[in-house]
Amino acid sequence: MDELEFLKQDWKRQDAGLPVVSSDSLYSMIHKRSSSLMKWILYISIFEFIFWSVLNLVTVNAQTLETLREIHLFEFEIVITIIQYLVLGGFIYCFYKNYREVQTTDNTRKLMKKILNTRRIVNIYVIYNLVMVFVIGIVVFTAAALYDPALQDLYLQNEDGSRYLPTSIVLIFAGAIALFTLVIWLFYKLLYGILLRRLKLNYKKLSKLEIED
Amino acid sequence: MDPQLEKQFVTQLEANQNVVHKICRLYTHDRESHNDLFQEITIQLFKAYPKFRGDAKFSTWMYRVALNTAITLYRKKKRSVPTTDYDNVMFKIASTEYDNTIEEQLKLMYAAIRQLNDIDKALVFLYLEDKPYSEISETLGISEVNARVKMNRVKSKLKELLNV
Repeated sequence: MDELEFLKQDWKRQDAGLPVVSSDSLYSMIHKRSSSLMKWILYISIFEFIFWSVLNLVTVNAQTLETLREIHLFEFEIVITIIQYLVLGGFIYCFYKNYREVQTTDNTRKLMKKILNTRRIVNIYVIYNLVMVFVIGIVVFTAAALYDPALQDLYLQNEDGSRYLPTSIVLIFAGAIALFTLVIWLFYKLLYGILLRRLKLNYKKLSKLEIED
Repeated sequence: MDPQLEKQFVTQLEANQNVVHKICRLYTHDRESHNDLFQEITIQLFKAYPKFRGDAKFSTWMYRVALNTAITLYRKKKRSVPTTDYDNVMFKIASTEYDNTIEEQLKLMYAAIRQLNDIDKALVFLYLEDKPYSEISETLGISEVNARVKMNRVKSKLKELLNV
């Protein structure tokens, strides 16, 4: 006889040895908070939306606006801020819509796909922000190099009289922007690597089965 | 939720809790994790309960939510290692009905099943629960043919594990 058939016979006799949870305990359990993966994804995603919005807010104050005016980026900042909020709104809408669609009554593969999609939306938002940090960083640095009086002292002069910024200064700025982007990217890789590793693995296993069909 | 519905849910879950315990013992290695997963499955079942229309048997409906929670939503709090104490209690074999050789063989089989990955465990679980392939494929979201192919592979894998 095949091993599992043999086990099946014993399987049915197992019930007597199983633990019994009383109805009182079940009542208290249903009112406890879930600590499911989806809850964690929701909390972390909300934190991310708040983090990037607050970061946008705190970097804009009277002094920075004045500096932006000096380096001819005031209008640029207004346009970027409007775009940022429109994009944030769009992402929150998509995230919420997907989150609502995640249901434990779906089949396993579909459920996994929906969770991964929900998470993907926030990941795209984070990548969008990282790209924006990078692009805005370059624009601000270029504008500052051209117009900021504080940077004018750092310029060196060529023999023919033309002025240029030393390579070391350019490299320090470029390095700082790249480092900031890299640190955040690595943090995400680590965080979601830990959080979603098992889910991704299981999803791959199920999907692979369908591809083989 | 409506207290009446809450009462109805608890009564049904109490009567069918064996299904949840069986899943918990396949997916956890110690008593604490077992209780933890049992609680998470209970919460998820309760959350999904208002949508349970009663067109399927409560126990059938439970399989999907409970397995989904164990495979997809449950976050292990810590790395747990199998303990013989837990194995002995949770996989208690009705020793009076078997001689020692069979009992030993069954223990080995349970141990082999617990070495399988999450998806294979779900397949074995549904198979042992005597679910037809149509229901297994529907629960996991794969085709019936693939469910059969996969089950045959799992059987070979178990044979391998038992012969090591």
